[in-house]
Amino acid sequence: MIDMLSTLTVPQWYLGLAAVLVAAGLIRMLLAADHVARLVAMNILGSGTLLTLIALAARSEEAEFSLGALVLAPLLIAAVAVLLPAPARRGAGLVATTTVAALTWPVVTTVATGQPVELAVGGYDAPLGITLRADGLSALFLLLTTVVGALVTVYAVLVPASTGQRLVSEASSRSGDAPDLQWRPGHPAFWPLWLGCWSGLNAVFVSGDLFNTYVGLEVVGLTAVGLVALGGRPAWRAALRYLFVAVAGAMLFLVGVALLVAATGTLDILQAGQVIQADPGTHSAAALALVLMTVGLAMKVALVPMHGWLIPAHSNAPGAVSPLLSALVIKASLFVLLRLWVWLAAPAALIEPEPGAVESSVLEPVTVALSWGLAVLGVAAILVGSLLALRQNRLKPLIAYSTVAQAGYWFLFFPILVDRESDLLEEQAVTTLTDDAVIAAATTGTVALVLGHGLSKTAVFLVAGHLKHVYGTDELARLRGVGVRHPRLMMALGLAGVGLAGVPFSLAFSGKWELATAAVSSGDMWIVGVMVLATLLSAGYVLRMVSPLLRTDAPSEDEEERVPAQPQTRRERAAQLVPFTLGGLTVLTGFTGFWVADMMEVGAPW
Amino acid sequence: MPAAGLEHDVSAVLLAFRGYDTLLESAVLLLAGVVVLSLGRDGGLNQVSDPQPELPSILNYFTRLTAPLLLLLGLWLLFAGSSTSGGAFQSGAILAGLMILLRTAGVNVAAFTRTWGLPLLVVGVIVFILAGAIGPLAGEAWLSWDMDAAFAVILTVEVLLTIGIATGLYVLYLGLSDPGRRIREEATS
Repeated sequence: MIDMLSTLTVPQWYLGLAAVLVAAGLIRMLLAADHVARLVAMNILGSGTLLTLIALAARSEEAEFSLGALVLAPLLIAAVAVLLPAPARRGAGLVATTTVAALTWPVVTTVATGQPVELAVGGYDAPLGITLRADGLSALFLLLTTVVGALVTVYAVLVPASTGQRLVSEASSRSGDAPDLQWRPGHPAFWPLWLGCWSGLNAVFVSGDLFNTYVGLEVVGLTAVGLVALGGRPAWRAALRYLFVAVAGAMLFLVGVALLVAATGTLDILQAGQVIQADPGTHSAAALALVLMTVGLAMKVALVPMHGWLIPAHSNAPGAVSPLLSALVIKASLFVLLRLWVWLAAPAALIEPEPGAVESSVLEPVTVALSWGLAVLGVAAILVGSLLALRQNRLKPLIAYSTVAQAGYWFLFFPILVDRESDLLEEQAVTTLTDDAVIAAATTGTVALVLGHGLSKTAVFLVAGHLKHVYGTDELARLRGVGVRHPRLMMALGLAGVGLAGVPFSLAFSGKWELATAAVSSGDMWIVGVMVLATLLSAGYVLRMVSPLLRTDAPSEDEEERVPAQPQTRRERAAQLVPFTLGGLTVLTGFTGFWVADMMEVGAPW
Repeated sequence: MPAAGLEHDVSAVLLAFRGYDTLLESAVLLLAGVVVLSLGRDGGLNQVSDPQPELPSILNYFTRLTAPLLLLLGLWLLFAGSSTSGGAFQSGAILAGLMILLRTAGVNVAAFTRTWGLPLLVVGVIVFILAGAIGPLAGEAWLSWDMDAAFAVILTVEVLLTIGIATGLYVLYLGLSDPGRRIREEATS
């Protein structure tokens, strides 16, 4: 016995201790009668979980282990949270945040050294098994999710009312009557749903497999619909509409996956890409799959004209949910779209046909036509979204329309991606960039725009949700001049507005700069024009959003109408630091443009 | 296939080669259950005690006859999965049907559902993930069960997954059993 103990390694000691802690916590939690005892038990369980993770990380390759744990740890905590009482669920949220942050670090640092991380789940290599893969694109989206997710979690812990409203029954005063039903602020189901959503987001970002990506998108879509519905009665109709769109989009994507696996014989994204490049016989199936998947994903990103669902869903969702939907959930579908186009379709479409080939491939004309379709819709999104944002009288729908407008930016680069002629311009001395560098700059610029939007939109939606919580309304007319009382929120709004408008310094500005460089090199001058117009329009709706809040010359008749502010608790005042931090990050990340470009080179197809 | 500890091709794909997908799909069902519960009042399984409409007695006799058979069929499908067609999803659907039938026939399952509903809903996913951590414990990949006891682990996971799937489907049914009732109740409040 002594011999055995002395041969144990440090991680095994950790594991043993962790097992004791988990067991003790679990037993106590199930048996304890009162909430305080359960809370303590929950913390014991949580520390056991953390200890297990540390021990496990020490035993296997740290980054590979983290890749799987990024999905499974939040899912495990979400499942456990279902059994916990409401206060302990907030603790579970914080445990999950710490865990995910600790797991993101090794993945991002490993990718930053230039090495993509791969993990064959279950030890079975593709095409038989599923490979998880994190390259530069994955690492950047993981990082965005961790930063936004962690900060919103902290906000939701501090302001439980931002998690929705729940229906509770109260015993009626007259006996024999049906119990009265009342809406109360705060919904405990936020925690399992949001942690499940987080797990799904991570699953999409680290997936190297088409079907697994579909399952991840389903987890994200379903939990997002559930999170919208937490907003109470007004949100239910919006949530149902969102559900139909999400399911329809997912079905189109699934049909595309089936076509691709039938044509290429593999579900692995990189392997499928190699088969398509090598075998022109797969091109017709791949073209059809690409069309279906692109339409399905564009529905979920809310590209005009498929944006109708987004406005009610994002504006009626609870205060802590809207930022997650706008900053992260639609980005999951966009991420998959980037994967498909940049990694799968574009390399195959750009291959020059062999001289003397009888039939030319359909993939090239289809991708070119589709890319122009996406770009035209992107321009339409910028115009329609911005103009409608300018016409809104309420804060949250205004921000939702600005999401529609910003989504337009992300579709402008598609024609550059599949433009076979762009390298011809090298000789015209317009630029020294090579063809690959043009594609790299266009993609990197778009990704920087997406990341910048994630940070600033989270800040803006949190501020809007906070004001709605304090004043009970988000009508701009009734919120006139309230900004004077909330300097930190106004500062957050201003800083985030810099990011939304995409002026220096912000990551969105670096993104625009890089996209414009690529556009000039490939001769697509129209993109530069669209971006200038879009910047002006977005500056317009940022002003439309901020200026009424800062007006101090409120007319007298408004004085009576103005809604009284609910007194804020100390925690709620502290929560204002969260959007403030995000606003600060919007500006500070403006200096990371080069780092984003370096990260994108890791595992890039060009 | 024998390397995976399972004889049937489909089961081997579902549980071994693509077990990670199966886990996430069970999570979808679990979270769908959570969504349905969150829309109800008091965030719980209160609708199980809603009174059921009177039914002709013939249904009661029918239930008495079919309930044990359904249970047997569900279990057979579960265990048959390792050698022929069958498995957790089919078995879970049969067992959920059994619960719905019992409730409709007036058998009192309300207390059982209220006490055990939530634990049974999540147990499959929790144990699946914990079992998946055996891999990293042995210095291998997540969800790899490359050992002598692989069959025992897979069987345990499969049984608990079946319970989770059955509970998830039953909870979905409960949440949708009378959508008009809650809305009417709220409208009158």
